[in-house]
Amino acid sequence: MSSPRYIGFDTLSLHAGQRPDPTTGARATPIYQTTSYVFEDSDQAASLFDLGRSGHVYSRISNPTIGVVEERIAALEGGVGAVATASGMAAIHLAIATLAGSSHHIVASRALYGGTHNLLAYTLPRFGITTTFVDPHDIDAFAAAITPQTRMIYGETIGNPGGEILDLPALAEVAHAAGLPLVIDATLSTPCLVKPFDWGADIVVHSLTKFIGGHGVAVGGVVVDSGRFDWEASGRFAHLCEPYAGFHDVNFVEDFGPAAFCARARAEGLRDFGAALSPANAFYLLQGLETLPLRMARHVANAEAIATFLESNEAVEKVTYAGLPSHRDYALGQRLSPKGCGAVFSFDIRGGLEAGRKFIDALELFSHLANVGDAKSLVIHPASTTHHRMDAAALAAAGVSPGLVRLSVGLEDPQDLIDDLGRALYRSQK
Amino acid sequence: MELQLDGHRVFVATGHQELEPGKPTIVFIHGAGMDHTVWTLFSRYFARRGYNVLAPDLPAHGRSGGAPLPSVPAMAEWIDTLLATLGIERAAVVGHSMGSLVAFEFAASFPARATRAVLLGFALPMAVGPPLLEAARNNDPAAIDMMVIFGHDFRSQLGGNRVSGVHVVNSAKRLLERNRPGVLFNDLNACNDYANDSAAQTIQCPVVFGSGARDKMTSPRVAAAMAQGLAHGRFEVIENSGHGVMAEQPESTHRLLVAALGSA
Repeated sequence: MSSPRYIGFDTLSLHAGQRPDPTTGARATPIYQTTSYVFEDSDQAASLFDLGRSGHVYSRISNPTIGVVEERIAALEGGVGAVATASGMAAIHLAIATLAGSSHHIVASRALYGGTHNLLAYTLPRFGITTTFVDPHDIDAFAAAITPQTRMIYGETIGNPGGEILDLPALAEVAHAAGLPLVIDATLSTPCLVKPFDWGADIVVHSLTKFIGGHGVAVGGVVVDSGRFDWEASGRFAHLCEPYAGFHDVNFVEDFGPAAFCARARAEGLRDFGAALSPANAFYLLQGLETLPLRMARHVANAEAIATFLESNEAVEKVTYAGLPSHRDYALGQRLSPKGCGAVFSFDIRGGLEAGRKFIDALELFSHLANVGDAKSLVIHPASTTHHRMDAAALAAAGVSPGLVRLSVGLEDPQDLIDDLGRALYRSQK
Repeated sequence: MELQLDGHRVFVATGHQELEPGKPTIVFIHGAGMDHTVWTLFSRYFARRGYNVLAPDLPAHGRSGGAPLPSVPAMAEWIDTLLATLGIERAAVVGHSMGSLVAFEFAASFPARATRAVLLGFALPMAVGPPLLEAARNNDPAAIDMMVIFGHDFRSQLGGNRVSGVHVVNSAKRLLERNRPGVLFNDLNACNDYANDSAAQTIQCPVVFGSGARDKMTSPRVAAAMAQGLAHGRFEVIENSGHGVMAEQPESTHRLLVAALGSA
């Protein structure tokens, strides 16, 4: 018996979740652009609705092309399963809605993507779900904010735009001691750089729109289940441990064991909220997934080169990148994300808001837009765009100053990017 | 359904249907270190097709308490006790891997009780490699790695699951990780030790063997030979599958079970 070896990450990026099409032999994953599926007979139809057989019923709930994305991400993250969604925000909503309801509470890192902050701070309270935001560096503050109504601890592997590295193992310990799952948005790290399940996280969400897609042509999201959290022992998730009248009295923990969360998210969340990924977008995202390891290595290398350049430029007051020794989370980043701290980071231009505007307008290669994780390099001014709904106090708490500029470093020749930044920085000081 | 057996809590999945006297009964018996969830699709299906379904967690597995049963004959006797406790006289037995040995032993030792047997991932002897046994003895996670890697066809490790979004190998891994220390070794040791030279003479019911064509843990050739040696034995190959046929090829396994068990 030879030593067992799991299939490597790069191979999974290309192949996981897919077998050549049995009908046509197509090597690429076909786009199954169909809403529904013909039943073999009435018995099969009934058993599909009863969860008595495997197969597809309706593409809002499952679809063969989307299934490849889901299984590939589950493979890359080391999860028991995944549910793809229409966007990253839909993934976050699905994760929360599967675990929490009216009167429940979330403890979240303060260093969040602006869209997530909106959802937690302004939208979910209308549905009875409130959030306490805490300093991501203050692990004790997470513990102190937990109440009997808390249903999860939430954070991002790498904060946006401050680059804060979340101490996942410490936070997992706090969460599990309280019987709570740790839900992590790993969009900016991707499983190439950080696998949150290896550090104790229980649920991972991604915006597939970013590095995983990489091409900036398709919006999508995914929720991944580690399969390790004990929903029953927690005592806080009765709805996962009791018969669900909404689905033939399925008891998700009893019937699906380690995949209970994932099964509920699909059977209830996708069915009832309906934020499904489209098959065409799933296909585009698969094209990105195939080259994810190669791209992430280049993204990180370029980001490190540019951050180093910026740190030495006189027009720059401060570079906030966890891959630089000057960042307060540098050591933590080296431990949790040894292949690099991503390619999204920020810096402050000398001269504040006005200099920031001049700088952005002077760039020629970087694209000024509201996205990150594209193959092409991107730039944005958070205070006037992604974070504009925050008041001054919330901006400060999120580490966003008026002159802050966020970069998403792409795959171009790094010298061309440095030249573009250098020219624009020079003009920003005029 | 929960009940007390030998002073311990026992969990039995019934497909969320009440047991009814007069209905035929199917008992699904899981493999080493597994639990009733490996049968979820099948137990739900048959429970809605006129059968009483019992998918127990063997002692010390899944949601059942107690100590693990040390041998395959002890597990078969436990199934007999379970049926007696529930007032069920006869049942079809379906087992996978270690569970197939238990079903085989049950059919041989309690021929009056067994109406049919379906043995998935069966081999006799079911020798367990010394490195795996040793790793399990030491509660070394390498035992789980060996089981999930050797237990699934390479293509299944890549994926392509019919159950959308579910990763077969990682799911099996998590299930195995849930075992208390010593349980996996107990089960593998029970498989390794089991022998029954006279079973072919005592088994009376029809027996269907189903093996993954690419099963590296229990050879399809051994199961096929055993089928030939039984009066009412039949062998079926499940294509494109390793040892984990229910997860790797749920539809093929479904069809095999329906053909073997018939409609009520």
